[in-house]
Amino acid sequence: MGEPDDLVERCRRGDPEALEELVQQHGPAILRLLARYVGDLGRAEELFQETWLRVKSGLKRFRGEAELGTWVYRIALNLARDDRRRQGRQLDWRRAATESIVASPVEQLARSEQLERLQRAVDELPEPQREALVLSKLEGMTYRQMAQLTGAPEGTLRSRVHWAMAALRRQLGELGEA
Amino acid sequence: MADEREDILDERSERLLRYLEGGLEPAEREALERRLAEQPDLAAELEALRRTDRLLGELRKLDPVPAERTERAIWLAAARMREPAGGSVARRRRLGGMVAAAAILLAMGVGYFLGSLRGPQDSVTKEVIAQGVQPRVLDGVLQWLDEPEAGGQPASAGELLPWGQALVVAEASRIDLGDGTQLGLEPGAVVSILEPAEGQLRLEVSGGRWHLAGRKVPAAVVVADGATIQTQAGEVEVVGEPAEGFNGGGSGPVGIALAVFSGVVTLSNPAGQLTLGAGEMATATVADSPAKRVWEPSVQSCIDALSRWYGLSVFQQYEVGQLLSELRREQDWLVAPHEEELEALRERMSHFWLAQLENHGADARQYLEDHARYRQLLNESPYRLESILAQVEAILPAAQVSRAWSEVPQRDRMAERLGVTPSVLRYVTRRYELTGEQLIRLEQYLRGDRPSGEVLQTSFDDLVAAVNAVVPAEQIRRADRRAAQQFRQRRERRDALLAQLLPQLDWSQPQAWSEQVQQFARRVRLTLGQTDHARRVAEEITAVALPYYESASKKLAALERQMAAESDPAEQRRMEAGREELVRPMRAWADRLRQTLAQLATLEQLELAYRPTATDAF
Repeated sequence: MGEPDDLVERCRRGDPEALEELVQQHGPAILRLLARYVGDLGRAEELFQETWLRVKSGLKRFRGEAELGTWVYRIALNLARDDRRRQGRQLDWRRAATESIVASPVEQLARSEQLERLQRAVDELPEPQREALVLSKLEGMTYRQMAQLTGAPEGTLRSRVHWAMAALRRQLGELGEA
Repeated sequence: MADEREDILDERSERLLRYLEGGLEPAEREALERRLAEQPDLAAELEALRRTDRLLGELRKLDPVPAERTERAIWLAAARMREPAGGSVARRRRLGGMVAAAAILLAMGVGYFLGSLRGPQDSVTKEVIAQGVQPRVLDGVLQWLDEPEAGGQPASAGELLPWGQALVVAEASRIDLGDGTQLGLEPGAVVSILEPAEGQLRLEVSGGRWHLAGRKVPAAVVVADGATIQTQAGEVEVVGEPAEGFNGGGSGPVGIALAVFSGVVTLSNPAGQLTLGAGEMATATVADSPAKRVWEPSVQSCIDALSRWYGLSVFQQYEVGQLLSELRREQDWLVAPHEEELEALRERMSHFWLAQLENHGADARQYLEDHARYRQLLNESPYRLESILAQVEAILPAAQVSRAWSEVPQRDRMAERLGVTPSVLRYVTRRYELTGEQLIRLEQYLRGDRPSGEVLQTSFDDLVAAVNAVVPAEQIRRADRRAAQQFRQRRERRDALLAQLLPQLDWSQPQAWSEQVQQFARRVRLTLGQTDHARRVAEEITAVALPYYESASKKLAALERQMAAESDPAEQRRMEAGREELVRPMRAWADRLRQTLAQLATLEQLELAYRPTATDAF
């Protein structure tokens, strides 16, 4: 998530090109994270725009205590957490399935019943464990990156991921898939 | 939960997971590997965890966001980031209480104001929503509330107002809301800039009079007779006949998103070209060749497109947003119900041509049938975007709708002259069989004493009243009779198709009803929303019908045995009546389910579903 210092400085000065560079650099991963987190692409896109509005408005307050990328991720993650809390835990699978009609990669997911069941099982995990699993296994973050992002100790995050893995294994095992 | 956790994450699982992650000390690892070799169940557990991990790896490989959606989102975010940054950040202060109050108002559903834009509003607290990012003072003077560190300096022309701030109007002021809308405030009004929600700028106004000035926005492009539209993303050209469509993608580099209602157009750019017929939708961007799509925009992007097209005010955007959200909840959004079949037909037809090219045997008759069906689907299927536009137009002032359509160059000049939309004119002309001469008289009637240069804006009701005034009464009566007849025919056709397609739900087979409902849903291609509704009703009904049937069937069997043994006709009639009593609820439930299915399917869906058998066709 690291960026050159001059990008950070230019962003803080409000240099439009630097801000755009920041969006280009982190945007795809953040949108993906939001889509995975909230389970609704349309909503993820809305949160994505809100993330950058907050980044823009808050840049001057950014003191460099974390890396700029981590800070942006944290804003996105907080928005996604709030949204999920507001929406309740149930994802709208019917809508996700409808969207998958046009989204070829997601369409593949929808076609794969096994992966869909896995996705559903992930969604049913308790929130802290689900978040840790999404960041670790689906977003490929290290425990250190996760700790920087969430503020939780690495050991806690590791045990959340392990707990989630064991729960998934048990659930998929009951379905005869693991 | 604590017990459950312990159940799931026992020490054994923890150790195995750490082993998988490579997190064990060498001595621990060796000890575990020895145990794995000795204990098959432990090895099996490890293998199961490995499989789970592999599955998660597969899930990770699937990108949940299609590339074009990422591109669009990035483009939009980057554009917003390029807009000038906000000023006076030092003055930023959260209005916790006010924001919370606004949130409560929003939650109660009374925070939005859907009033008229014409006159100044009174001092009740209202929320204003705009598409901009940060409001800016155009003129006047506003005093910051509760901001001693601002040194008492008021906000004046050019100042950007940060979120979380509240200001009181000292001198009449105007605030630019960033999307072309201007908020005019009179002295004493208090304006609070709330945190944006869903990408929309939100302001709260109270304590004084205020008004909103409308904005001028360029209309979205509509393809018309002989028109060629050029954007950075590509070119749209009408082929042969007049065509009509809707461009939801704007004219910027983000691209074209064109839905064609009628006629044929080509969409081309340096990367490629494709031809679109009625009911089809395609997108093109600067970087990508045109591609056919199923139209599936988010509510927000739809609002954006409709705002460009109709010049919606911020309040109307909210209202339209509500309508679209409602439609999205009820329907499969804009996905055409026959999309799968179209796709299958396209594939079969392309296989036919491949087989022809390779000199393999190809079934020409099948191809002709497929082709005919394909054309039928394209020409006759309702395109949902069109119906959505109709619903949006129903909640907008006729003048605004008329303006949106009449801004299109080279459109139907008569519609423009009458001040109505082309679709309204088409409908009225067809219904009353208006002649060209009558149309001119209609215009004269509507214009009255108004100067010829003045643009007419006519509501639907006014148009129909004018038709009644200028058209002979017999012609009107004929039109009404014809409309009534068409309505009857449509109802009869629907009844006839329902008789063919509705399942016969046998009262004595309630366990089969759900499956029969599913079969009907598949055959008629009910939308997901319709299918869900049908399934829910079927579940509700069978939940009561099944236990009833189980208990009633025993009584029925006993009754039938008694009836067989009974020789007294009076007694037999009494038993028959008793049997009918037992069966009646089952029949009622079956009828209710059939009625539900009958009400759900549209005539167009039934038409598409009904295919004559081979014997009928040849």
